[in-house]
Amino acid sequence: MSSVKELELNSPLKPKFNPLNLAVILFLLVAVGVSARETQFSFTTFFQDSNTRAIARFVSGLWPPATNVQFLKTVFILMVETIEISLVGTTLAVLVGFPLSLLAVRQRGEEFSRERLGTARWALRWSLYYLVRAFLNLFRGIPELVWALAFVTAVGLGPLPGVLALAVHSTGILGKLYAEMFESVDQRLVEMVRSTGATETQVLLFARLPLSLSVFLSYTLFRWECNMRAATVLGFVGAGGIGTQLIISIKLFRYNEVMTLILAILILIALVDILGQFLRTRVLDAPGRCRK
Amino acid sequence: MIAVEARDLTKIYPGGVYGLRDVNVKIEEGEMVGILGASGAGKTTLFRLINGALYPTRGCLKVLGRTMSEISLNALRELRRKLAVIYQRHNVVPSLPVVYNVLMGSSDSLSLAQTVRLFFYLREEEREEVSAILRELGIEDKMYTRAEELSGGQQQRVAVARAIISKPQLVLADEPIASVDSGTAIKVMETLRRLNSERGATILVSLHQVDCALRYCSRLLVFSHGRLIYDGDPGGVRAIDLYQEDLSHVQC
Repeated sequence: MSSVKELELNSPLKPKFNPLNLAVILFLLVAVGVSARETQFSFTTFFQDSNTRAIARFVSGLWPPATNVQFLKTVFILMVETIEISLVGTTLAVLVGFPLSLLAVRQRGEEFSRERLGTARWALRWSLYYLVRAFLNLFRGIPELVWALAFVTAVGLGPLPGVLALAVHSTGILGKLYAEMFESVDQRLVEMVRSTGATETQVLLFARLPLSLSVFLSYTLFRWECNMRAATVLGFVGAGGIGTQLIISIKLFRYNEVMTLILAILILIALVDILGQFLRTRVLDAPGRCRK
Repeated sequence: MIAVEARDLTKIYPGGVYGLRDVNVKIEEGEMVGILGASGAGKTTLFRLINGALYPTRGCLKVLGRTMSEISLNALRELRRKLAVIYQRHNVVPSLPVVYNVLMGSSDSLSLAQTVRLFFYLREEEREEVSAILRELGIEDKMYTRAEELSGGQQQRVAVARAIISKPQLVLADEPIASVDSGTAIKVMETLRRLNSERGATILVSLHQVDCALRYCSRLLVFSHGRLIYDGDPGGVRAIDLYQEDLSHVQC
């Protein structure tokens, strides 16, 4: 019979020296070192004479923020435009991403086997699945700014290319997130609803959606928050929003205007956060909400 | 007519584990059949095969005249509308109010638009129907409560309510009273008996409580390690066999 000591010695949990681990750590350290060198990283850069002067000029220029009425009016109009871009962009992304996500859900269960569906339907189902996944990857893989550049080329300057850029990129993200959310609901409950003879759309309405409503809201609101942040820089490439003014003020060295714009962006982000909390509370914390 | 017919029915799970092994059984419409067996004996596998969640590996299974190994997905949905399944647990969608958990039982009579409409507006007759069933089961006051706020026993009654509203020809109850209080257990079993005697539904109910099976069922099937080892009168089953199958004699 094996003693406790033997068991301990043979336990898979017992740490063992593995030269491969050491090699991986060494490789990572070398990679970080080489990358730092290639990117000219240096702690002392900040303290070089010309740089300290530039930093001091920038920081001292930030305060006091620009407060002349004409500029504040422009900032306010651009803030509203930024909110509008993010709002329309996110809504479009939800409207397109949601139905696409349904096609990107991997249906589990022997009901969806090749034998049950028939080869033609089974092949069509899986082709659609991979096609939608590929499109979602494409939408998601290209950053908002690159989409914005493409749409500026296509439809000209202004907020519209910004809206389209956010919509396309967020469709890729939300479509994937929704699909994974719907896939991860308790399969036993999905089977329970299916056992009533429900169609997959009814399974969505009776099980997948109610079971993932809180996550659905969180993802969507978080995406809106991200889009709001993204919308602040879309103006750099001429796609509307507060970034349009930010890039002008930076290029003209008007740092006090930059400060006002940074504060405006912070207010925007805080607004989205507060509104998000309010919506979550309204939808999720209402006990037993149901129309009688 | 025959409700369920299995010939050499075998289910092997991935990895080579036998769920069921060469099961032969015929269940006539209108029977109330108790299924006994220790955990892992094959009871749940049988139910999942009957309801089409699993595909037979070998042999033949006919449910209400449909051959399960050849059934298409659409035909399977049609068949499921004639069945009602009550599970031991995971019977309710926790975040949905009870009324929707019950109404999903009548999903066959609802178009997509009507299903969406339910979440915004309930018709008078829908409310009346659900309310009457819940009253019968003693949980009428919970109609608009989220299912997650109910006790285990109350959730089980919701599952029974869903079975009633679907007007099933065949009820599959998989250990419906294994984790509920005795009051609920009696209510569940009495309701199953009424579905059987008044509406002519065929009932297959798996139980751990032998006494309960003897009291309510007209026929018993006993499973052991995926094989059907007894099929017949409740009176004919030997207590010693049941003890060997690790079944408890719990009063019901």
